[in-house]
Amino acid sequence: MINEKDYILTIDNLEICFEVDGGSFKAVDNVSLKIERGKTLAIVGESGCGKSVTAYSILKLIQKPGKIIGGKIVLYPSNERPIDISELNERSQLLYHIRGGYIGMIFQEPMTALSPVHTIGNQILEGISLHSKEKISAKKARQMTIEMLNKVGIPNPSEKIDLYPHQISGGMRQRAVIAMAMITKPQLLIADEPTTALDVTIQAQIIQLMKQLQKEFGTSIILITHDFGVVAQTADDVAVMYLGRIAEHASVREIIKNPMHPYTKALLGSLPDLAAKGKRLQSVDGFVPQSFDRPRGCAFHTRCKYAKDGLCNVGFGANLDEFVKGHKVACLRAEEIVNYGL
Amino acid sequence: MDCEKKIILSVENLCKYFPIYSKGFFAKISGYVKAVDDVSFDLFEGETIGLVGESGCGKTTAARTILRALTPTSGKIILKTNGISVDLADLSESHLKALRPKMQMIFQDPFSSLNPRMTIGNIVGEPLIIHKMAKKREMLDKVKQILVRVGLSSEHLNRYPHAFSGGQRQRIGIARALIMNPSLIIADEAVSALDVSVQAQVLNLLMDLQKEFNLTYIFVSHNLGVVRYICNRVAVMYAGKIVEIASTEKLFENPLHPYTQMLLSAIPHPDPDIKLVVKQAGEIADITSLPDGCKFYPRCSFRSSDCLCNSMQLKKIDDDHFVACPLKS
Repeated sequence: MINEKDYILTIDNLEICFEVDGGSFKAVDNVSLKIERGKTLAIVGESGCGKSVTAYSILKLIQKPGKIIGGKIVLYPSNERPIDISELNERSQLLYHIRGGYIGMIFQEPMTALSPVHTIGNQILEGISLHSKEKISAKKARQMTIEMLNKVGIPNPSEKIDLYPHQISGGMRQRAVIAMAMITKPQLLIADEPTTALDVTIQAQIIQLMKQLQKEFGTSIILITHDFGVVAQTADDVAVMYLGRIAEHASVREIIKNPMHPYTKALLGSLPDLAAKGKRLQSVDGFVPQSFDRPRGCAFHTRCKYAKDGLCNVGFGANLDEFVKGHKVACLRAEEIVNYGL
Repeated sequence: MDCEKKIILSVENLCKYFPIYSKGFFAKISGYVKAVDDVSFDLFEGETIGLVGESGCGKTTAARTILRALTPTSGKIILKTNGISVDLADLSESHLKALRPKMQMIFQDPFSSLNPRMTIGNIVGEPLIIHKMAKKREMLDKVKQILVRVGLSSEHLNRYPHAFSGGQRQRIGIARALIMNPSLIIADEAVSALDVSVQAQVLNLLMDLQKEFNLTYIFVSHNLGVVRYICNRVAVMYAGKIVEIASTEKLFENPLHPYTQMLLSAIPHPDPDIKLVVKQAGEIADITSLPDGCKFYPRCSFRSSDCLCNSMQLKKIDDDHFVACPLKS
């Protein structure tokens, strides 16, 4: 099943549907991703593009009007048999261990991801008692928690362990959330906008911390973000999503230095960091359409400056094809755009 | 100071302290949070000044105090319009109302800053009614004009805010500020809540409007990329004080204050070949317990014992470059 490379997780043709008010729309449409062991995959896109839903589906955390209607998600834990997550029952014991045990999760808001009525120590400790294979004494578990707090850079961990979330700062809370996710030494970590709510100085520290933990534990990471700065600093591979589909998938260097999809180009062009001062930003016209209002053909054609009538606005849009080795693009005009430098 | 450039606003020794009350029935004031502490700067006509810093550094409080949405504890806010200068700091509410049209604000969150029960026409036109600058029919004409100017259409007049996306709502907020024909606009994190592609549209719009109406902006933001792009000058705040103020080029190319250096080094550059090297660590200052002397002392890696004795005074380093660091003089 696994060829050439060693993958920790594969997603094949994932489809997620939301049913609202009698109608239904696809929030995620035919998404396939592979995450290499020990590497970081970033899923980038604007709000409503389906990046969070894709990540949540890996843990089967899609909430009610949403439903996974097709596709396969397979986890390959090292030295164990592969687990087909999409086949697992909602109440199975294995799924219980996948959430938090095999796969850890860091949520966006460090404010709401922690329980206000439990000490951070107890919240981190819970992971050990729930997911460890052998029995661990309370004293040992506490020791392990203190060690983990120390690793994520919380000063005086033996005192901080008994504090409540409101007693520590936002950056410290996010560190506690990371400690909570890492305490079970998960093989895969899903980080949903881990630094969006933080100040740049704290963000830089958290980025470094995640990289350092990845090196130490060999964790694979799925990073969900809309910030290209964070992507460039952490990711190995990048998947750019637009309205539930992957528009472009390549290595981070390829995506940033040699973007091929008009949407990726537009996103990079609208970054003020890269723009020369005084020049107008190349903004994308219009706004992201609602998912239930998905344009026909290529979903991006309404905002795309390369869109060609009769080609881009009919049918189902382009498939994600390998254009250059390792660089996949879903654009019908990709060849023209690249070859003729349109 | 340049003679050609006209000062539109000068802020002198502005302070805003919030009292901390002790617990109990007879709550006494046990101390003050110095949210804005001795802030001074001049603002020239037609320029954009950026106020940057980490959360809790007082940048929003400073902006709101300048607008007199908050009453300053002390200091002067001198607004110069039409050749008359007025100190906003000790103006009564009724006198202030006459000046309000000159200074407008664009808010951060386009979802909570628009009343969900008012139509766009009423939201944008309300200032005209309040200041008795137009009657109903005239108001609607003006609203239509301004809506078109910010990239919406006159059909949107009778719709409610929920029918708009984040970027469009922010345009409505801009239209509301613009309709009074202000000379000064304070944009408090005006693009932070928007997606990058929409953020670029709004930034372009703000710059076009600035040229067209000769607007002066105070741009409060924590996004240094945006600030670098849109601002002529930048003031970096830390714990209620301005630690460095300079033209954008000088500040980004040659940051002198250790805090500015740290802030700039923390920006993740969207280029995998430029690696992120964080200069210093440390937590954001707890504004209720700060050291005497330099407020940045606990986090500074160049600190010496002298730093605790010297107060943070802005010193001129270069034309248009001021730093409040005792080591850089």
